[in-house]
Amino acid sequence: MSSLTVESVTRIHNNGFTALADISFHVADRALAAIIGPSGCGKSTLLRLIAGLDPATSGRIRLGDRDVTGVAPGKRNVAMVFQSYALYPHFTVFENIAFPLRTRKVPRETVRREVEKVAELVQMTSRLHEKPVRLSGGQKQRVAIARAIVRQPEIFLMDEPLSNLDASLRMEMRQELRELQQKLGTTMIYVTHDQAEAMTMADDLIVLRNGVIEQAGEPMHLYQQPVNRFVAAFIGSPRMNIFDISNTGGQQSNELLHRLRTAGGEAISRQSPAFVGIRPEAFRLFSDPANDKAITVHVEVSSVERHGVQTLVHGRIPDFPAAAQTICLFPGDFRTSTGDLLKLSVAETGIHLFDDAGKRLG
Amino acid sequence: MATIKHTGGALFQSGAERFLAAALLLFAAAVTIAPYLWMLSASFKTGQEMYVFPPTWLPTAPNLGNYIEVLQLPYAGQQLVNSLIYAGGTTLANLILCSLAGYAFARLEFRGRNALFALVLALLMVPTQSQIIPVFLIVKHIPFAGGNDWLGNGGTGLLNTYAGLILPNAATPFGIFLMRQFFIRVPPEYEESARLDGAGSFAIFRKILLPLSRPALTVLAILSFQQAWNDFVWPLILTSTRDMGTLQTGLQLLHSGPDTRWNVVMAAAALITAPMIIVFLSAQRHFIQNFASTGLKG
Repeated sequence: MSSLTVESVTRIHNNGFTALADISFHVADRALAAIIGPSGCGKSTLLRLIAGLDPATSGRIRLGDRDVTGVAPGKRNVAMVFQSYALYPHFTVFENIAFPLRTRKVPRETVRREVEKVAELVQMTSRLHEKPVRLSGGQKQRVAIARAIVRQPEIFLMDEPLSNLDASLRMEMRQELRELQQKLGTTMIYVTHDQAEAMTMADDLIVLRNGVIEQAGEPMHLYQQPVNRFVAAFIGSPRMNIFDISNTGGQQSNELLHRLRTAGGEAISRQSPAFVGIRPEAFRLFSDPANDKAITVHVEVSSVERHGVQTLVHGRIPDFPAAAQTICLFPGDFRTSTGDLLKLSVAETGIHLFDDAGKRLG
Repeated sequence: MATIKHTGGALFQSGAERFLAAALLLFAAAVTIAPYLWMLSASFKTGQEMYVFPPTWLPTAPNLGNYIEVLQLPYAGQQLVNSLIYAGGTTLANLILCSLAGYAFARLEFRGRNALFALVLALLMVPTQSQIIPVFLIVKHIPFAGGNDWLGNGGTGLLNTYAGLILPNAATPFGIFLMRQFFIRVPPEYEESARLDGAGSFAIFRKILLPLSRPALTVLAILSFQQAWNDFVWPLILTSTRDMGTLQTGLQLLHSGPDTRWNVVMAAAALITAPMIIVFLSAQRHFIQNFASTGLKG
């Protein structure tokens, strides 16, 4: 149990590729931090550096107040669950879970007691004497987690631990994992490319792209105040609609474009916003013509997805250059059909403005 | 993932194709097994029946006399011991050295690894015959062995010793190659996980990788044992006394005279071949089995 501090860590691979550039962040004790990003962004590399499996080219890594930068993986007191689980096929479940204790020369009787305790925690007591081959994906996952927690590490590292499970099991394990982490009170670093998984589980999100941290912070903060277009589009599902309003394609600027450009106030409109982002759920059916804080948007419906709990409307906004496509999300069963012209409104607070480099304005 | 279908069963579709395939395979099997059957048949025959024309496949009066005679040959017991030591020692040495070298080539990162491995592979292409004389000279001139001085002169070196028999084959390029190819296919997560759990390189090798590589080790053991067991040229050259000879050199002595009794030779050959056949039959599942990746994924 301890906090994790990563200080300007850089990793340059042997072939000269810079996988991570000047990464710094802090994860509080007992917190669950999720590292997310598209594949190849360096998130697994970062986890391997924290584990000590690969050396950092420069920078420091601290567990609590202990500097572990050059410390061998076995001496860092971190445990990792691999995406592939890496259960030893020639060992039984019991031997797999016992392995970290046995390499540390823990007395026989203690090993047995600890393994049984952990097995009960992950509900694998009845399968202790089977080989991994005979287990289902979810059970292998539990064994891998049991092997990680049995020696009470300071930090858990999880490399996409749920990605090999089917959707319903993933939801279930998400919940279990979070509860387990809170019960044990161990700091956890969790790598995933699934933003929904990260949003629902993590105390802190770290969004990586091309080896650089784009934004770090609480999930809802990232959701509400994304610092750039990338984070805006990456967090949230269905993703944020982002429209290019810099080029009107020779058309006259219309009222909608004008309202959007000035939505952030005068200081921002002077920086000439190039992109506007609107979350699908920010659209409302137009109701109050007197409310001039809201911006009116007309959407031409091209298709409707009814999920019961929500309705997704795919459409085009004729007032935008090239009649840009958009997705609008309405709670419950929203009655509309292809070809309708909807009159919708978006609150000014639901408008995200970005400059031509994609940086957030305001 | 589960959509890949096995097409092996449908290779031969029609009845005619199946018949033709079966016939071809049967023919190949018959051609392969005929000499062995002939050897077995001859080993139970009397001296006279060996020369009857037309030859008989089934001995008219099968008897065990030839076998008893072979077992009572002088040096037969000693030669068996020698063969076992030669083959067993070679096998053990190969298992240890080739797996260690294979692991190093597969997993440890060191300068010149690829060049060194290329050199090992190049050794595969050097004909054995061309190595006999240099190897003989090296073995003869090992310093301080067999009365040699520090420059390796004056004595007989390792000639006529078990060490001399075993050492030149203690680690074969093929064995190293085999083990390296196997270790490369073992997912690195096993080792990384073990390293995080505090295991050192040697513990990982012994507790994780060696048990995982049982199929490869079995193949290597069988091939090494068989190679040494059947080896004729090296024991013939290295050993000059009868009590250091192996079964293969003994077999050769048995039919080197002008009045060779082929039924006795066949009985000896049958006895010498039997262990290899038993080993192959009992271990063949390891040639097929490969469970290295079953602990991964769902």
